[in-house]
Amino acid sequence: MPLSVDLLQRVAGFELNALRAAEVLGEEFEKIGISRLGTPIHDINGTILYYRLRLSRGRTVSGYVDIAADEALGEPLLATSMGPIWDEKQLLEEGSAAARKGRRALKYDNVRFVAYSYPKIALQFLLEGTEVLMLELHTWAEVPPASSKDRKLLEPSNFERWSLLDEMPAQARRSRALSFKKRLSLWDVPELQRIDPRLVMKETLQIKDFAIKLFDRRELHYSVRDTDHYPCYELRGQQTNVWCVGASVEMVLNFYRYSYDQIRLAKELGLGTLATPNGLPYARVGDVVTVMENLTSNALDVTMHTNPGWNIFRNEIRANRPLISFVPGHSRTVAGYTSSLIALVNQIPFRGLLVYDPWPPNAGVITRWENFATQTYQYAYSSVLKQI
Amino acid sequence: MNGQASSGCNPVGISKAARQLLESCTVGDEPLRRSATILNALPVLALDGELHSWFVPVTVGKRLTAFFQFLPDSTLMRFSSFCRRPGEFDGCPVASDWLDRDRIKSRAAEQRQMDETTGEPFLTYDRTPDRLVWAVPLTHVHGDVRLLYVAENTVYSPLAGDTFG
Repeated sequence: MPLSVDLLQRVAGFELNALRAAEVLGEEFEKIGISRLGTPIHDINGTILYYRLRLSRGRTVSGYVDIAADEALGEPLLATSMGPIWDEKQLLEEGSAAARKGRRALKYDNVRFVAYSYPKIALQFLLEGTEVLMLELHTWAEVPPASSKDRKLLEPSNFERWSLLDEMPAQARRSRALSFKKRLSLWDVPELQRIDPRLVMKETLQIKDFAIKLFDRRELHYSVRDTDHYPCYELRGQQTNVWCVGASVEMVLNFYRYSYDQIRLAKELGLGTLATPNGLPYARVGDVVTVMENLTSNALDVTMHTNPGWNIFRNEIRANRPLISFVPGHSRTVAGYTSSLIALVNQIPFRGLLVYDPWPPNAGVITRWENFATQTYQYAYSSVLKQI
Repeated sequence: MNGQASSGCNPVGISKAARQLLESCTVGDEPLRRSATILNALPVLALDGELHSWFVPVTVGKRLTAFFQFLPDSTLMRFSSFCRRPGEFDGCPVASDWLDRDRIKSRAAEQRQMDETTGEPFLTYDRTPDRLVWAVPLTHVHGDVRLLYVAENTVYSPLAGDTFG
């Protein structure tokens, strides 16, 4: 059964407020208002799939939120975006102009937004309920008529129109409907009845006897204070194909304001020179502790953890301390973690690390997030500042 | 984010899953989402030729800005970005350095010895899947085959011995 407009706006508000409270949504969402009027987006089969509601700060439109109208989507909140402005009226004008271009004889009495290939949107022009033209939003390219379904369900080809609702297996649809209802029930509790969620604020859901948190997540800050700035950590690419340990040590020491370059660190760690570099032998993993303590005049108390578990990483990051992480044959550093506290439908709770990886040479990558379940963690090095 | 992407376990499905993860704001940032092109998934092979994972490049213009790595069952291993800050694409590698097989082949050919011919590159990893490289087989006239690893501008022979590097 479709949701009423008032309920849609209320659900959108709770969902966005929860994400804001969990800091999944950043400051740009603070004090954003949710429009009451939304644009219905239809499935190809005519059912309203979801509504796109405008987000605004005062009179300035700032973005939009998509809220499901059909239970088959599984979750009320589909997407939200800050930046792109959703202007239904302007889009209809642009689309109508594009429709008339080269089609002077075109007649229609209704235009609606359709997810012709979810989540891609088009304008569908109708005459007495029958489609006469469909144009993809923004590109205004004509969407071709439905092709024969000589393919697997839910595997459409490029620029093919297809119905999400008609192609979704019945079992998945039932399961998603259950999830949808469960999620709605989260917001239908006495503690929230007097709350007006139409304005997104970090504090909105901080109510006595009501707690919701979607993620446990933290990245290195300037200090342990949550309000301090971040990121407060920099990536260093390894300068040779075997200096990952040197680059990792450099990153951690830089965090503590020690400036040693990789050439010097290689010398201390026995990694050779730029011209004839070598890796750190497995038998010498303890050298990392010795070298880091020596180079900081023992201001850092470094500990090596063998086969480190999740809690080692999480606890160190909570204490605002980066770690070096050894995986087979390679070394990187860890500067954050995320852990899902709510398992969404058909999903397993995710635990991930924010990894500053010095590979590839002279570049490196920031991995946000590395799936903790798919990696082998051999050693980790934590460091505690003892004295200054 | 969850551990499992909803996709078929084929290159098209994997790329689709990557696109959904980016579009749904699960990974990446707004500047990347606005400008990114998600390319076809490339197989990452173990040295025995078995499929290890899928590499899905994300480009902005001519730059390789980020990539996904999925296990064959479509479990997301990682999303990694070359951008130091959101929207800073200029410092990212030139995409063809990672994606143009001819370019990779010719880079390896610079270290080819006499009587060696260059074979077809394949994407693999140096000891750990974090260290993605292209392996280029060089075949000696006597039939011996050796590999060269190419990671952007870095070209080297696979390392012997147990080291972290």
